[in-house]
Amino acid sequence: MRSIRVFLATSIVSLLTLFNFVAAVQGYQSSMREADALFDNQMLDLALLVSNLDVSDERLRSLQLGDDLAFQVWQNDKLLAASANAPSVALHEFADGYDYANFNSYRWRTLARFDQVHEKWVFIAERMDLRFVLAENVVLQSVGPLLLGIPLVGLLVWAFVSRGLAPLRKLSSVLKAKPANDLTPIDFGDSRLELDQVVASINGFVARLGSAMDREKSFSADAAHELRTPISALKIQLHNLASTVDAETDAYRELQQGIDRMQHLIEQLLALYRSSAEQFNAKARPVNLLDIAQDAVARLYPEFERKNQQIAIEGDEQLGREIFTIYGEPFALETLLTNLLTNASRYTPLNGQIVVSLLRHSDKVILSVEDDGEGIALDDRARIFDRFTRLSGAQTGGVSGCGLGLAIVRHVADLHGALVKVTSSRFDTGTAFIVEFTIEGAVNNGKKDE
Amino acid sequence: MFLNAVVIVLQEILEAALILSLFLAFVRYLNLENNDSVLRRRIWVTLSIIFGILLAWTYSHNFSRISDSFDYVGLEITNASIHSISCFFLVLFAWLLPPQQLIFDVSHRLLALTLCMGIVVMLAILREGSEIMQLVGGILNQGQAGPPIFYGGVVGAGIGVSIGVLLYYALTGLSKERSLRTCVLLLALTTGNMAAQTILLLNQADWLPFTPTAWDTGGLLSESSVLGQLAYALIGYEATPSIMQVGAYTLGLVIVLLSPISRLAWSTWHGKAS
Repeated sequence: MRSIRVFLATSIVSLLTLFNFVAAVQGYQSSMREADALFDNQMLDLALLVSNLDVSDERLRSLQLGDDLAFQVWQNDKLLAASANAPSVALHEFADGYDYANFNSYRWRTLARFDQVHEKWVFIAERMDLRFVLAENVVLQSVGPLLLGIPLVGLLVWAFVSRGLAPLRKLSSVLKAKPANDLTPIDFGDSRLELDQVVASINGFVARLGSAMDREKSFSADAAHELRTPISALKIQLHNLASTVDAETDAYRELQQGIDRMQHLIEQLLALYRSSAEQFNAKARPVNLLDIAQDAVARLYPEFERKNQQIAIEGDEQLGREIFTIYGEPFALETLLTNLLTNASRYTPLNGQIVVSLLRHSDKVILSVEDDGEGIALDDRARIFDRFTRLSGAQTGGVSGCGLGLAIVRHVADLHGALVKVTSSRFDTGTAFIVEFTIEGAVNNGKKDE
Repeated sequence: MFLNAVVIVLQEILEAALILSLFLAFVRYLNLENNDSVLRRRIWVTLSIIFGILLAWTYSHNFSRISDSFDYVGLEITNASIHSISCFFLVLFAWLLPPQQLIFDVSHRLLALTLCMGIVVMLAILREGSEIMQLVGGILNQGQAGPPIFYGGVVGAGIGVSIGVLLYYALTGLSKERSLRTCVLLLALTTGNMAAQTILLLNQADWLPFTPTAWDTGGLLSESSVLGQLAYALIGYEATPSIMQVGAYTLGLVIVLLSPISRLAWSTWHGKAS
């Protein structure tokens, strides 16, 4: 995940470093040029001084100046005076100006100046390497602090960027701490020009979402509830009809199947409403998944028996039944298992096999429902949990559902902080639905929403 | 001394930083970060840097021995080998990147792609790191000239790393379509650069004959100028390349540009890719 703080801090420090260091290189180059001109001026001053010395003084014939400087005084091709380190030949051609020369194994900067008053040539030489080192050391005195300053600037940039982003982090933590079902406006006291609009937009969105959800919930619940009565009336009328008409006709059977499908759809819509976050908060408690699984299998047993299907429950109880206890809402979990088992029975052919297994793995309780039916194609696996998704007849063996069963399974799993996966079953064909409940996650989810 | 150190370190750091930024941008754009693999945690970067430094240390400590091998052209031959291996893995990376519809699902090629990137980064650090280590060794033996070389090295490294970081943010800040095109173009230029450098090193070792100079752009952009150095690191600019170098550069460039990733980059991202 990209961090705004890291991005801002590294890009600012990089830009500062780049510009400062490029400026340092430019500064170094121009300072070195200035230092060069300064040293040249010093050589000129020295040449003026030497030209005014009395060359008849014997001590000037081989004066010891030091390693970095040398001089010669010439008159009519005759060497009048020179420093001890100067060569015996002229170190510069007899022409005014600056140049370079090599002697005594070093490279030298040289200056020739003709003294018109005394009619003599003064040559001054300065060692390039020493002059360069001297100039460089002086110039680098100003670069050093710049280098040391960058880490300090980096720390300061990090601190200021962190300080600047603090309100955003605060808003983020306020949003993170907000329970999933809490649709009240955010109370963000730390007002900032850039964030006020964001907070206002979120609050507006949350308010609109809240009212839309209320409308949806009341519509689904009311519609489903109101439809139950006419459906029951229809079923009674159908039952009565069987005594006057032939119940074995296709028209009668299709009418009965249609009414059954409608009843199933309404029951599923009601189940979806009942497994809402509000219901979860109100009813969540420690629940044993093995108990729920056994109850669900017992309840649906006539259905399995009708199709002559074998149903088995696998759960290692050696460590005690309580290892399958999670924090959840019993009715919602019952709906989840009922839907998975109904699905398995519906899409498994006659004489097929269905296995419900429970496994405790560290802090997870893994529930799986496997069958040896036709199975689900890889491409379809991602979308089967969407509402009102129905697979093609070839895969379902011509059986049709209302397309809400697996949407409810995922909804219930989400409420419990569980992960639902669909994969191939242990049999040669068929599907396995695996629901991974995290004990800690479910408890936290429940507590958080309390 | 200061300026020399700036130029040497800048050149070395810039080359390695460019390759690293380029791959990190690729990882980001190909959505590899979200995969639950070594790529996600960028362990491959850490591992390649560590192995690169170790190899660079070994290399710089055996400089004279390597130099004396192959009739005293051991360094050229070793460097040419490193460049050609890098070149090979850059091309392999470009061809391993999946075509069009598979761009969001590269899980089956993750290991191979990671290995390619890891090896190229490791070799870049080996190449550039060994030269920097030589410089550091020089500082320790220089005495008085030590501090200017040290300051120069720090300034060069600072500029190189900063350009690398800013290049990464620039590449990842562009739109997906443009950034992928830029990344592919830079990958192609880097490959061409490596191929041309291999030829140059083999020329220097006398393993390949010298061919005439293709052109001379020294008057327009000097290799020793700061801009010339930057162009050298970014696109392998040389003022007087030989005909064979130009040929190798073009070949490297074309092979990468003919790869599936390049065709993807130049097609519409959402039109054909998804």
